[in-house]
Amino acid sequence: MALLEVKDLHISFKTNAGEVHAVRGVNFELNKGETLAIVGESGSGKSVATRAIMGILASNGYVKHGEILVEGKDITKFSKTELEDMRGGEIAMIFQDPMTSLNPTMKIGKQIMEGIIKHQKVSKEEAKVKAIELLTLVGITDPELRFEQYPHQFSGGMRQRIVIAIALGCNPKVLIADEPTTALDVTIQAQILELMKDIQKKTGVGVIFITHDLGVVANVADRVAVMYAGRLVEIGTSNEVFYNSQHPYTWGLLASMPSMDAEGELFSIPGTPPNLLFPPKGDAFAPRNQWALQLDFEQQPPMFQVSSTHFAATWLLHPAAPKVQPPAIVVRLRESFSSEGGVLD
Amino acid sequence: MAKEKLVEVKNLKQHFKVGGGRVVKAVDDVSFDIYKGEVFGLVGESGSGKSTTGRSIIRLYDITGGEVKFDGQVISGKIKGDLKRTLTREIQMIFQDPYACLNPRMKVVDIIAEGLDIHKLAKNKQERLEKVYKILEIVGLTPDHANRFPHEFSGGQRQRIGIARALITQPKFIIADEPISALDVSIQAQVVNLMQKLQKEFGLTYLFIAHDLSMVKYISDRVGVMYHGKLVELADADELYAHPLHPYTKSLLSAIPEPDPIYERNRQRIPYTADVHDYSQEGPEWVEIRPGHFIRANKAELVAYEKQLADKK
Amino acid sequence: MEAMKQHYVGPNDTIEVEESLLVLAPMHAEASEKIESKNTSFWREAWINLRKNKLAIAGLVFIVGIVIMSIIGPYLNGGADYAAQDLANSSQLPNGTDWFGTDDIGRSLWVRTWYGARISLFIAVTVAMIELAIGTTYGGISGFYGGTLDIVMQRISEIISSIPSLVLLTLLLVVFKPSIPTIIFAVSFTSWVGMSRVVRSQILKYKEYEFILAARTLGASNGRLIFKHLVPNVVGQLIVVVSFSIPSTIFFESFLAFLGLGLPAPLPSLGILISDGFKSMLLYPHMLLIPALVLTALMISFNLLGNGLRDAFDPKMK
Repeated sequence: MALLEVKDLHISFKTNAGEVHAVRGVNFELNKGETLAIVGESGSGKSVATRAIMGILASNGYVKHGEILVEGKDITKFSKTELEDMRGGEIAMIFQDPMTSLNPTMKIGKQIMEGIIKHQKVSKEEAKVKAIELLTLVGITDPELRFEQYPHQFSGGMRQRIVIAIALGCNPKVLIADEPTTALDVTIQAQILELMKDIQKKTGVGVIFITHDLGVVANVADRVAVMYAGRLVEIGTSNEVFYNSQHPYTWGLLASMPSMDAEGELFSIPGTPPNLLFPPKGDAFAPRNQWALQLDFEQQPPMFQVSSTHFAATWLLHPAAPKVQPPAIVVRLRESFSSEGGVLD
Repeated sequence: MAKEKLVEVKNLKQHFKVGGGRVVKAVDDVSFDIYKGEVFGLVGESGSGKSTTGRSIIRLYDITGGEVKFDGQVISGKIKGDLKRTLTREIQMIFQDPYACLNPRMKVVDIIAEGLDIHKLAKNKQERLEKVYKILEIVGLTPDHANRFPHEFSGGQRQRIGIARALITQPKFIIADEPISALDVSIQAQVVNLMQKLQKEFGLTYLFIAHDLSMVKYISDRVGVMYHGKLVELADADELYAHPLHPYTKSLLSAIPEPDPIYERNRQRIPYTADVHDYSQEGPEWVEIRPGHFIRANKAELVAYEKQLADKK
Repeated sequence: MEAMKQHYVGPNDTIEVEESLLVLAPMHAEASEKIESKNTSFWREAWINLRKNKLAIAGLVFIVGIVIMSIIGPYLNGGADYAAQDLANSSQLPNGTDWFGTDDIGRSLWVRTWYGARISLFIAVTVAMIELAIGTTYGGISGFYGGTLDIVMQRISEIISSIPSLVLLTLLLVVFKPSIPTIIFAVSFTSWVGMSRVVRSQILKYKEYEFILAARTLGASNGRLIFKHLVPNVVGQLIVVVSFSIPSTIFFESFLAFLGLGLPAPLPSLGILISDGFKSMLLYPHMLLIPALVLTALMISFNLLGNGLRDAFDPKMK
């Protein structure tokens, strides 16, 4: 059984202007020890979907339809106390800004111990030993000394390490990381990513990694889910999504990153993502899609299967659809992969 | 090719007093020139002083030392009111945060027209409106957008409104302070393309400040790398990325994530600490090691860098 | 791929579509820039938020009702003279001729209650306006210019706010005769400091916002920065502070009246009426209850409205 299964999830927000359909039918699953990256721009629903998994939607948001199964149990039906037990226990979360997720007036050692005591049911002394082990695990030198310090005595990268230690202290099965490196410098980002991969190897925790940076995705992900306007548009293994992408939105994302040897005008996706107060009838990406078919404007494409692990929601995969040429960089990625003898399974 | 200097920054120092009598040297003895019509990229991590440099040039901060020249005139320190007025027209800025850079209580038309209103560049309401509509169109928006408030726009649209506001006074020089770091990847490309289009159309010169090295490389003609308030290396963009010399530049370049899983799996990150430099015997200087390629190094390091360059070529 | 199973089209599945539509369509990227939602300003949005808050609206209705009654009320039941005595008709319970009854020297409590509400409200609103004027200017200058000026101004305001207002008031009322202007002066002498702190902290916050920097790089004058950029962003906060300041002044005035430092007879205020009513509470409880009810209704209403306004102006609530 998968650690986490999300089935046909719909989430809406009530606002003054009406109902915002933030997530509109999303399916995915997460297995033990794997990293699933969810990619998409702000407003694509990636953060909302994972907040629903944590049970921390804003007060005007609600799960309209669908199930979120954590080890087979549907948490959308959980009571408040059940949710509280699960949060931090089965599922822990790391946020973008490490400063706001730490209590500035509490020693970091105590903050790590709190979760350990609550979720691992151990004595104070044991918790302290474990907390120091965790500090070592997340690469903090002099853990005994650092244990007694306050958040402001740490740099941004160190704080994010502590946040990770706190999350791990709850012994979670699923770790949700919401843009954990976006606020950090590139060199620090690289360190944190290495740390997260290392921890996953050691603990076997399943990770959902939310980001809009495909470079980061390429670094951490086993599987990649691409979201647009509240729906999954493509999901597959990291190799499949990077080297054999099918959805024009994924193409656009890949092509709009300048590679180090890019020349000429950068490919860019024109326009602006839709307002989910008024979700479009057909494929939400169609108006910005250079390869849109007329059918895209009429009817939402279903998920087409590309391989046993790879799915994409585009009418281009219909057998009768015209064959189109993806942007140069997508073609180049495909070629570089096969020329290096890569085979997609 | 005779290149004309538009901006000259000489030994710029920007020190801030913080509590306890300590002084933070946000920018410390930084010198560089920006030529007419080029894009000068300034990269570095948070706290490196890159944004402070930009803000010092545009006089948001009073500088502690050094000198800034624009079009041959000194624009730092005490200057005449006339010159100040000219500068606020000719030098503009694009900001990082698309949410904080637009006044939430003002309509888009008034936000964009602010430069016109302050400098009285529109003869009447009609002309003011026409100018705003024209600039909206240039940045890919429509007159319909003029009467709305900022909160109704997406991040990319807001950034374009910010660009429109900067353009309306027809500036020569634009300081873009991390203009894309807060935007989504797909929108980053849109904004960068727009900035390039505008540069060609209006003959603009940019100072492009960012921490995203791949985008900086893409848009810039020349790139300067800052570390802890000091410029450590400066060269043509291609040269800097092909032959980085300073260990900090190398470290930065090695950390850029690329959208390519195989490349990522094989990436070798080069860590950097300031300890690699031994400046106990001899301090570093700002030296032009090759024409156009500057580096901060002492004599011993220069010899090593020379050798590296010779080996590569 | 358990979860995906029911949701995908496999290689062996057929899917019925209008195949003639499987052709490339022209691109309409401009269309995606269109904003479909209604154009809403900050004030509209705040009003919509406030309207949804039933308690705040109830508070607003009560306040409006009491304000109206304080203006026209005294004329509705007999003469409008709050001082007119009718000793033959003293200490009456509420009845058909004197709707709220009369006090121990036969003055109409109906007239006195609404007139008292008028005076209490007048004092509170005037104090709030003075606070607004002084507090905004002082806090604004202090926050906007910053530096040494800010430090000096902050120390001065700290000294002023550390003077116990009751002591000051007693002194003032000994030197001057108690009257509406003296009470207004005495209360607002220290209370503007709170307002100035709010304004200062707001200005300090917005001063660093990029839209202020943008205006500065465009050459905006200080006047423009203050009136076009800062004030419109702070005004929501100010309204909230005022809506809490009014009830606290009303309460303070009643408190003074109770201590015997209130307005001279025969002027009524809610505090004076309560203080008078208290003396004959056991025999004639209506003399205490009626003004106390009006006072309580005012206090609660202002607090409910204030809370509602605070939420309505808070962008996080969207």
